[in-house]
Amino acid sequence: MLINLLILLLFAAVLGQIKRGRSLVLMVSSVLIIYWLQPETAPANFTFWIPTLTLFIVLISWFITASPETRINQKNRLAFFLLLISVFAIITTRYFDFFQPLAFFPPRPLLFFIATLALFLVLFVISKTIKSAYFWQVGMLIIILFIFILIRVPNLLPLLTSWGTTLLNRTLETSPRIQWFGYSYIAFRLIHTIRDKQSNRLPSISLDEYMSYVIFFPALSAGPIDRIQRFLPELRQPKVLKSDDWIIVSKRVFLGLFKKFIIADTLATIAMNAGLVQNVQTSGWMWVIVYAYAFQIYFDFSGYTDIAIGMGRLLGIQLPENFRNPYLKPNIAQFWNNWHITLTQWFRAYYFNPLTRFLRKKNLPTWVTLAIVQLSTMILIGFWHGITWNFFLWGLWHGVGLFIHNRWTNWARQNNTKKTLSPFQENILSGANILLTFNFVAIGWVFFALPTPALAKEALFTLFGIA
Amino acid sequence: MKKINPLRLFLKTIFIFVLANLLFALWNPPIERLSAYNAILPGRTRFPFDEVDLIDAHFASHEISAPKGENEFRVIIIGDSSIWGDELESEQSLSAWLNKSQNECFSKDVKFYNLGFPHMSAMKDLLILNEAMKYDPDAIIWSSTLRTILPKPPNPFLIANVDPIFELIKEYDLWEYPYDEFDYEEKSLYAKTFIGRRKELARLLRLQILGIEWLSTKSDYQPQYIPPNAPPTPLIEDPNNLENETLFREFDETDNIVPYLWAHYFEAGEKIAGDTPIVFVNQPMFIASGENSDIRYNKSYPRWVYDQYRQFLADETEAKDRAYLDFWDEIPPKYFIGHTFHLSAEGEELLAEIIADGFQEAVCEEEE
Repeated sequence: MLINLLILLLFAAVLGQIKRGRSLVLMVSSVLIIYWLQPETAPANFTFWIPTLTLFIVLISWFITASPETRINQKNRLAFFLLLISVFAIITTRYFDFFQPLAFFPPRPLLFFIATLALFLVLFVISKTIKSAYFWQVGMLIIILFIFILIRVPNLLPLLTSWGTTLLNRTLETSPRIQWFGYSYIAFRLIHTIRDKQSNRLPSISLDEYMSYVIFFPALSAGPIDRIQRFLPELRQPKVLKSDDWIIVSKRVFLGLFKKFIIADTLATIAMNAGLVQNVQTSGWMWVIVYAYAFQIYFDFSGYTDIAIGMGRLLGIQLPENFRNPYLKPNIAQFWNNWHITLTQWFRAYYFNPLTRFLRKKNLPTWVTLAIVQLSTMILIGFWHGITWNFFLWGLWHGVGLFIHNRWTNWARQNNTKKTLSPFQENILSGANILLTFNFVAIGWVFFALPTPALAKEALFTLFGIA
Repeated sequence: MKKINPLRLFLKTIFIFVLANLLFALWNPPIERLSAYNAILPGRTRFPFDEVDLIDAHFASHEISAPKGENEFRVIIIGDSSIWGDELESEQSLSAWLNKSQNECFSKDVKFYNLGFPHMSAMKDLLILNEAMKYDPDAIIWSSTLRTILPKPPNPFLIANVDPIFELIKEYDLWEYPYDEFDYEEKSLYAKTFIGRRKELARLLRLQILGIEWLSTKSDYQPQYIPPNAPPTPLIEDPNNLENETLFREFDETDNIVPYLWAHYFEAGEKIAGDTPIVFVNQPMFIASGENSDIRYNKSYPRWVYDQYRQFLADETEAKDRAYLDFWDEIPPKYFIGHTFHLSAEGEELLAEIIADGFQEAVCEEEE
């Protein structure tokens, strides 16, 4: 993994020096990189078809959000051609032993040809039904969410496959086991562009720019989820790296590598996991492994973000920050304003705010509206990580925390409970708040890290010394 | 503020990096001997398996590296996975049961140390014994079976410790050992640098971190999650029913296997031990009672080859006046788990009782 990252960093540094046709080069690079980074799946030929389907979905999403004139202009035709050529280049690797270690599992060219024909057919039908743009956009949102559910519900795909094969009276050699590289982030970027198109906030964008945004390789595996309106100007006019910037970028990348490969990977040895929870018998040690997990997940995730931001900067694009010392915040609301910031912002823009507006029209009491919105938002954020009971509980935990915090703050404001404190007292109170918030978050990780509610209950009981 | 020239900074960084690596390589510190165990963490009661390869790191993490107690009679037990305690927690291994029985020898408290390591090899046993002698043992229990003294290529653990093994080969004339398979090369300067040793350093660091797990769970390996109501792993085949096969490697019943055994490794062990008494134990094994059990004892041994081996050991013991405990059939089959030589916790407890008696008689009573 470290070697892959170093190769990508070097590649980004070289790519960042290209002045003309940047978005085309970036698109082709990102296309090749998603094939390279796609983990091997079962059946093996899915290893090729998953990134291919990703590209087709991104292409169709662009097609339904672009104006008819934009779709067929010369630049976009060139981008489309280059896209197909790039995928075809991957297919040709099947004829060279040299590429075998990369495990692309490319199919026969005829199969890709048939798939491309199917893609053309879809694009043709869409282009002939311009008046149904809204229909296609909603359809695309449903498809994106359906795939999301398919890969996020454990064992759903093998179950559906099993039903399918039974119905068709066929047998499969292996049960499907799919890892869809980067889909969580790709899906959110696509939903963002489609929803913005529906509300007329999406700028005009070419295919290569759209592709470069959605599958921007530095931010594919761990975010951040940038907004296209912010990304586009920098893609078109990249920030030139000055001499001081090289130092800043180097620092950021090294900090990221250190966080991920030294701190997080070391903590992973003793961080909470199912096997450890079954064996730890004392409350004190359970706290140690829970805290180890809390720091491991932070350093792992924020380390990746540092690397992604550094890599983006090498390409002339300043990606948004995703973590701002979240464990040093005095309440849960501020924690969520500083933890996985771009994901929270996404949910705020496309779920929290629209739902709040909708419920306000229903004249529900404020606290009911708030409860519904906060709980459902956090549960959905939980489901974004995986559709399981434990992620549901994790979301619920944070939703309840946010709701209680909101009500408490509101009550305190209304009752004017704020007393004048000395600086020393302020510091003590602030420290206690930080400690309380951190522990609330750390306990929440119990649901997040463990596979079943029963095991989470076992861990919580041990944490609090309940026999 | 002074403006920084990134190129100069880069070159300086490279220079310092190369210089630091060179100094590290020239110094070549024995980092494998540094350990948090026995300092801020309690020592492990058995060697870390699959974590590190270097023998010094194994000993540094083991409780034997802690200072010897004033009234301690230190007994080391060497052997393979059956001594290490495969599929058992460390507190269920043979040495743990022996320590629970609170033996005394020459008015001192006997403390048994598990120095078993999961690999059947006399060379591996010699390597561990040679290192263990630095920790002042008062007696040695050496558990082995026929496979221990059969010619065998080195495994990764032995390959990683090529230097001390060469010393043993030279010192005790063990040139029949397939040392050419080590692919031995003098360590290059690069291999001694910080970068060249990065994997070794990472594994050492991980071993120290695992000490926290050892402290919190008393488990000395990464515990795996077992879902509730998970069905027990079924035995693939009944160990009582054996193949109709009397061949053993390339030998058949008409062959004499004795000349092919590396029995002189026991003599090398005696030389290494010097005045420290060794009790040789022929380890217990599963004895089948089903199909073809008239021609084989178990999956590992046809009867003819094991009988030859036992007879040879008995003759050697008599000729060389060794303390020898032959426990080959002492443990009933119900105490074995999944393997010819691996015992359940109850089996280890039973073996501990027998060994404690035999040890008292061979070491403590004899010299008194």
